[in-house]
Amino acid sequence: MFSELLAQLRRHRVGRDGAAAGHPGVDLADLSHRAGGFAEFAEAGFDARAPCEGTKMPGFASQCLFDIEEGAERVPLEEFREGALIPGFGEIGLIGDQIIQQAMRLVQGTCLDSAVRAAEGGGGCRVGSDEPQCPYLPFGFVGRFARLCRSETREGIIQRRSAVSGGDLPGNRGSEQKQKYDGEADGAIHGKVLHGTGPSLACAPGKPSPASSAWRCIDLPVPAPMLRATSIAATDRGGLMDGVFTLAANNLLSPIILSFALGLFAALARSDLSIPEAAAKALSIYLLFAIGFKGGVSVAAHGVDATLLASLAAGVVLSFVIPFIAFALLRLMTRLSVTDAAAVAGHYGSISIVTFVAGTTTLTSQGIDYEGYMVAVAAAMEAPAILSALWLVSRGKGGQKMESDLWREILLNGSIVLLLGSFAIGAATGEKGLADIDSFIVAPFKGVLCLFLLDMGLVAGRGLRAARGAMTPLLVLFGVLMPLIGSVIGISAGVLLGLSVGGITMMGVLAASASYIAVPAAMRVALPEANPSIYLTLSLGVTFPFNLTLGIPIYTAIASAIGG
Amino acid sequence: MQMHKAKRVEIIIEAPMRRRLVKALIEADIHGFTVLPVKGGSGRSGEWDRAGQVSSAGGMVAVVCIIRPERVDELLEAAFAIVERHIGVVAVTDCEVLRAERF
Repeated sequence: MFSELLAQLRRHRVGRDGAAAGHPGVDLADLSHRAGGFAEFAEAGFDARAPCEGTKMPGFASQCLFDIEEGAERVPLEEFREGALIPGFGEIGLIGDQIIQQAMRLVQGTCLDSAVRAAEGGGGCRVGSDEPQCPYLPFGFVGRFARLCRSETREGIIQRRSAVSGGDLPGNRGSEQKQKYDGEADGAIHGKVLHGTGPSLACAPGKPSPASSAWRCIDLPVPAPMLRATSIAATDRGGLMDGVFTLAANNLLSPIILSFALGLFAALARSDLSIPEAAAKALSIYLLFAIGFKGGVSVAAHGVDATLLASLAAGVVLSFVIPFIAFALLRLMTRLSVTDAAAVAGHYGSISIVTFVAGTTTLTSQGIDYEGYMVAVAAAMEAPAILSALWLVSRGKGGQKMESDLWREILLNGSIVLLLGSFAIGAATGEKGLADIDSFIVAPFKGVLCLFLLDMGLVAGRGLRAARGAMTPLLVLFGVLMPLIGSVIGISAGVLLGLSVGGITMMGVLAASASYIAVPAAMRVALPEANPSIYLTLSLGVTFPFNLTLGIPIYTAIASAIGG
Repeated sequence: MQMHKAKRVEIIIEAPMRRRLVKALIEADIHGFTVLPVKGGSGRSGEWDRAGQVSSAGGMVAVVCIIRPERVDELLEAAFAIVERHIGVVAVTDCEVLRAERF
């Protein structure tokens, strides 16, 4: 959704100082960059067609002046640049695109339609107008907290809002301030109402909606993830490691990871806690369907392009190549036999769909968008690694035959069929289809993922307990080192493909993850001599928890630093 | 009650091999058998439990076949081609059945 909206906005904002649709235009990236850190940016109520008083750049109201707080100075946008000291704002430090992405996320499901229509219209937003034309709708959400004002019109609902200032954005005042805001992210709304330029922006916290009009005010707290995302942006200032630590800390304290930890603890403590096998299967079916469907909807929104095909091809190549690196590393680091090393390597070339789901959930909670077709890339990366593993074993032996049944089982295994099938349904039905079932596949998603990861924790813990003897320190080291190597390769591929930050991250996550469902089954059939307790324990007991807890934040931070 | 001598062949094998074993039995014209899930157990690799497996790849199944004594070799040949390289157990025991024409 974000990319589509962004693309549409970009189409209507050509050139840094050029004109678009008959209006003076600005380059969106530049605009958002300069607006970075600006807590309450570009209120929707500004009339884009009206000259702005006191500005050197007549045209877009959002380019010129903003009422920050009542009585605050009006400040030209040009002065909003990184490092600038603006009265009432402190130092501006956030990177605009991150903020814009957060704003876009907030807009989704609330006023996306009007924002898109506004972008398509290319015009400005006129306060009090029934015309749903407001290209800056998304930006109005960049506040500490925002408040929606809804107006029923003959064309539906046009949503306007006024940002409510809760003080400076986290990031403007460094890490102490960030912590403070993280702590109260889900708390009550504080702050003052910002003034827009029209009567429709008269919402105030704790006050009823204006009685004199059709406007209805809705409190909209900015969710915690938005605040966390600011720490990603802060990596540009505070260094990569700060970003990694902040992300990892946030990640470790998420219900998803804590659920996994609970399962792991229960299994290691020999508790009799268990998720019935059928229930676990149902949870996995739900997750695969939801993630595939949402990916398909995203592709329906963006269309199929060359990047999609290139990403698929890159995924297949990565899956083929990574086992060779893993194999070489294993032979170098450990004393595993060729067969065992090849079997383990095959697991690392393939992917873990649960890690993929966890990665997308982390990105979503951070407000980072990713290409929906990464779901298809994940499916494409399942099988090629198995071929590489078999080739590694059969080198010099004239090649190892794979029976046709095994091919069919690999390519048509339930996970792939469900993932690609729901992806196709999502792509065919698009936003309308999503709207029909979103209460089923969107809202409960994280809760279901928590339960599923509780089960995964139990399984991983039992596996670790059972295979304690098979693990050596060097094998464990490999289980941590290999995903890092894979992620670097995946992230590099994502950068070369020109993917978004989210897409780059997911490419890294896919390349870093190791299979523990599809490949073990194939290995049991094709390489029964390989020791399953080694490859299963490594992929499920070592690499999976590592990726879940530390890996995903690391890959996200690296991708943000490179691609952001 | 008239009882008839028969052989009970029990094959415990990795779950991913189940389909192949069943196919081999049918191709050998052996159509009477039962597939049972295995909850757990212990072997050369130590204890294992179905609950500790993330997918069917780590599980085992038991294929039980009651057959006339003269057909046991035929069955074992077909089965052995599948189970030879894999983890599992093949056991043959004597048993008696009520309706010989069914086996």
